[in-house]
Amino acid sequence: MPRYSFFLTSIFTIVICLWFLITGKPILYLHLTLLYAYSFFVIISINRIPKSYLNLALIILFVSLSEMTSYITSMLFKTNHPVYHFTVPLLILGYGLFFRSNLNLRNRKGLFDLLIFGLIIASFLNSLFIQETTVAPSYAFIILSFFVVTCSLIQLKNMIHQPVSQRLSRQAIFWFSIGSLIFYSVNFASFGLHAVISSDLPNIVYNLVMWLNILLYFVYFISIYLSTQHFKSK
Amino acid sequence: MILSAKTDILITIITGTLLFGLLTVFIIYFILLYRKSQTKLHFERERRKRELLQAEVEIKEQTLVNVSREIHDNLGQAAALVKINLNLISQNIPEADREKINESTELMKKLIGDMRSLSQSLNGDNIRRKGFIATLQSDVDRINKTGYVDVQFEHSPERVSLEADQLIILYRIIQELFTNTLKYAKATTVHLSITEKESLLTVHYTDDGIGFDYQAALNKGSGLSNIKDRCAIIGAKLYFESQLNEGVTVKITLEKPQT
Repeated sequence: MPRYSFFLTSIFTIVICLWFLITGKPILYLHLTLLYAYSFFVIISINRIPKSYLNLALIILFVSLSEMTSYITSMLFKTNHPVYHFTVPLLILGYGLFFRSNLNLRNRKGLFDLLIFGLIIASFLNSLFIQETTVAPSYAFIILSFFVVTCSLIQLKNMIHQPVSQRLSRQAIFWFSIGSLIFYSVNFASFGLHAVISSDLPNIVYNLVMWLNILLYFVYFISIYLSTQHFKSK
Repeated sequence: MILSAKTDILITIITGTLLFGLLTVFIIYFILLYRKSQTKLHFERERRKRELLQAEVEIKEQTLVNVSREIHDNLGQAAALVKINLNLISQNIPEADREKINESTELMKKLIGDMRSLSQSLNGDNIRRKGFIATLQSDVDRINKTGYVDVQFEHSPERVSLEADQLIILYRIIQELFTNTLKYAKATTVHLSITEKESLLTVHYTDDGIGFDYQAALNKGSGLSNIKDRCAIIGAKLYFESQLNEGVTVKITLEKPQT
């Protein structure tokens, strides 16, 4: 079932991207549609996803919900910033748990838990005392992006030190790490640093990040699919 | 305000391009580095596999040496004593019964001879003492004596100048080929040739038996995989050709170390 639904979802992704490009409909809808397609894929193959990738599956499901909430909030209150004040700490938790089970931390797991806890607290403190919920949580974005980029780099370093004979393109962790590295590097520079320096982000940046968002979740979708294949072969 | 917005976009584009350029270079560098570690891993695995095979062959070789000594020292000794006793008995019995005792003595003589040659073929040290070609010749003679198959043995060098360990393994490979032919091939003729051209040693082995499916035999884990593994240990190249009812052709080439 996952192989069949993977190809179907991939074809759906390509077709719908082309359709949105041709018709010029807002990218946000494309992003939401694809997120729900990937969530559907995740739900139907949840039994085949290995334990270490369940957190990634949860991230996809959670982001689908948060993006929808963000869309509804922006329709109702003309701003979606409050949603991100809750999303970022939960994303830190999700990524933290993912890296916790994939980074080969050995006896440093306690320290890592402490780091995750510290970052979540920092993110909440930012929302409570530094950046109000009506302002975009750019400091929290910096924390999240810095955390994910650093962990992805460590993950890639671990891969070089402990290579496997499997082709790189067949490795779930490679897709996850590269996707996260690209997206969160850009996120760090745009919604993080740039937003701190100047509150007006050019439209080109919004569009770029939106497309990168689409790419990121497509890459996560590939990663989850590959993890189910690896799990099956084990 | 317009200028500021334009500058902002320009800065964004420049920063974005730099960032993407950096990420692209990083990803390419990572892929190259990862491939390098994969190659290293592959070589390391191959080395470990060879070491493991080498150890396995050494253990097998040691077992064969022990069996060979056991045959020579204990069984051979016992058979020799039986022969002496038979000779002694034959002097004290009537003429009519002596015939059977003499027959038994002859059989015992043959048994001792067979045990000696079996002991020699099992013991790899003989190759060091007698030489590779001479040991092979003894084996060929022994097989020819059985009358099951006619082995024709040709060799251009009188001495094969390889490391002793390599020679023992090569000898075991040829023994395995003989065993396979005798056990399964139903062949009438075997042709074995050993040639040396410059630094290349070639062993050519053919039989006119019933042949077999090479891949199926390899998957079965028969003596064929032993031959393959042993060739890998000494760094020899193995060519196998066989089809049903068309016999077997085996070619083993080994690059000799430059002296």
